[in-house]
Amino acid sequence: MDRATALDIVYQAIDVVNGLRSETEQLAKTPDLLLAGEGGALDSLALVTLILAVESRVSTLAGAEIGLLDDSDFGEDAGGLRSPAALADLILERLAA
Amino acid sequence: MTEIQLVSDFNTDVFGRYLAADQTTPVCTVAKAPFGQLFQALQSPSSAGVGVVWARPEGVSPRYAGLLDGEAADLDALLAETEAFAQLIRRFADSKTLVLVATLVPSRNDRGLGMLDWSPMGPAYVLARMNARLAEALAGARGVHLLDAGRWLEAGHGSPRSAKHWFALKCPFTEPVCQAAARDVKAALRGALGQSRKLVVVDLDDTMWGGVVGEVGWRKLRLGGHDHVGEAFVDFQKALKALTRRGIQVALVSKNDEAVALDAIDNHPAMVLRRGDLAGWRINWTDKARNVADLVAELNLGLSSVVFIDDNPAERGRVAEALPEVLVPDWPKDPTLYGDALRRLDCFEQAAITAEDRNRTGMYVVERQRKDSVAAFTSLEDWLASLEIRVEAAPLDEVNLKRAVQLLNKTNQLNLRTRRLTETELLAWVAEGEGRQVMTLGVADRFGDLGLTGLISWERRGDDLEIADYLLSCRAMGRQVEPYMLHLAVEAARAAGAKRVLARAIPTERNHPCLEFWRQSGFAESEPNLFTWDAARPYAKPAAIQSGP
Repeated sequence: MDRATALDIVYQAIDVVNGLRSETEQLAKTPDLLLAGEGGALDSLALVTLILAVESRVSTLAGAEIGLLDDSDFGEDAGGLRSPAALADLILERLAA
Repeated sequence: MTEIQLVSDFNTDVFGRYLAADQTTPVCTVAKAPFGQLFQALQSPSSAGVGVVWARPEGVSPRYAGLLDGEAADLDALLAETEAFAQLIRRFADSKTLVLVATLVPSRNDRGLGMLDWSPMGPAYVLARMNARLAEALAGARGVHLLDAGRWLEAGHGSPRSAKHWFALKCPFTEPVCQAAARDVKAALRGALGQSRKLVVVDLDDTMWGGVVGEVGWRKLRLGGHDHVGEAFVDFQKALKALTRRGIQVALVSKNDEAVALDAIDNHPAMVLRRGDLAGWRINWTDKARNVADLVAELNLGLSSVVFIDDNPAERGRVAEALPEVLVPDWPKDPTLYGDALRRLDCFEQAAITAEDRNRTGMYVVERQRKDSVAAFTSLEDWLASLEIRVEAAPLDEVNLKRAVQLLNKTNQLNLRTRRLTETELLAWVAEGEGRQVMTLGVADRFGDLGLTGLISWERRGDDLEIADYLLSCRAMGRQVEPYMLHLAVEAARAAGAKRVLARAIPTERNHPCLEFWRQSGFAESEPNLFTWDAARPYAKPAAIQSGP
């Protein structure tokens, strides 16, 4: 899987999260959107929903199970969950592991 | 804004967010009961007017949970637990105007007992019995409706259930299921509020039948026969006919020569829909949007009541752009999908199907005959007298309650205050005030029975009798039933010793015909939209009304 595909998977997951938000609260699909951590756009439910949607799509496209929920990236800097770009990198890192 | 209380034994946050994010009418605010407190929440309802109950079967019945864990279960005791759950819902519903209850569906991916799953103590069989018991125990409960959660599980492409979702979110269902549930709840709310669609306007060529009748003639249309496409068009027509049997009307708008198209409708042996199944038609070469608007006006409906179906995306685009209130669903290119596309639309929800609904198409057909008969008379009075109009006024009771509520929620044009009420709210209104009465009016004439089409209610306010609701279905308008209802109110005021009859109109975008009638009624408009009548004077019963008290 290349990085563009991984980023697209994150954007598809953002579509799922946007379904939970009103029209005026839609998240923009940009690589540096602050998702989690301090000032992040997502609360814990939305973040878990996003991660589950990413995992499901990775499983469908790559035929591989990855566990992003296993991380302790829910803190202030959010690590690999901080932005779509960081999450795409995390997907590729897990697939390569 | 509709307030909804969600009650569940699992986390309904995702479901609730889908409900709240959907800005189609009715817009909802959602409050969920604390996680895992199914029975506590049912016993302490919030002030929200609507309740939605969605529980896992193992949350409803501990014995069912044991069954899933391999324990033997006593079926009678298990069904008693389901019955107790249903009784809690009935009590919960006493404080709500509407309660929607999801049927019980398996919450985990489980083969159960495999080939023994439908044996007398298999989980599949037991769950079916639990649902049947739930349906029986809630049957007749006012304002309570079961929603088929099994349909929600068909949404999306992946598995509807996810153990990961359960462990991470404490919700056993995936997002597409929660989204489908939210859509179904919104559709049910619209149905309960009388906001469902009432008329399907359909194209003919390549929509109702295969081919262009003006080019090939009706004998060469693809309709029925040993042809899978022809059978699909018959299936689509059957789906339309099924709608007419529950009170949804079908009408035609087609660019065709009218005589040629009607010849096909009358004579093609495989036609399911004949003229007698149609509320009306516009078959000509005029712009379809204009034809739809004309037809809807003729039928005294609003554009927000209409669904437009056409195989041609250009025609769909034209109608959608010109008439944004009309619902124009995307339509498949493949005719074999037409029937299911229609059956899957969620815009026809109804809280009840009344005898008037079942006979509505016949009423439109008779109305065409009635209008045709006008030509034979030189004066309106002569025509009205010839109709032999009979009106039967009856107090609200168990028999006419559903239809009365349907009228309250669906009538727009001849409606004084457009007060929307559920059965529970209407009964509460009658019970709680002084001198409150609701009268329903059944109307018939020599052409046929128009059904229960009018409603008037009033209450005592000091020396006055004030009209709370005054409404008449569009199909009975213009037959002197309007003044007859005022006659009833004035007679009631005189019998009760009231000094005046009052009516306070609430203008809307749609009820201009009602306000126009009141301004011509003889009542004084003592201030804008406040109409009064001195009850010392009788209000004459219209001469054209031949019966009634």
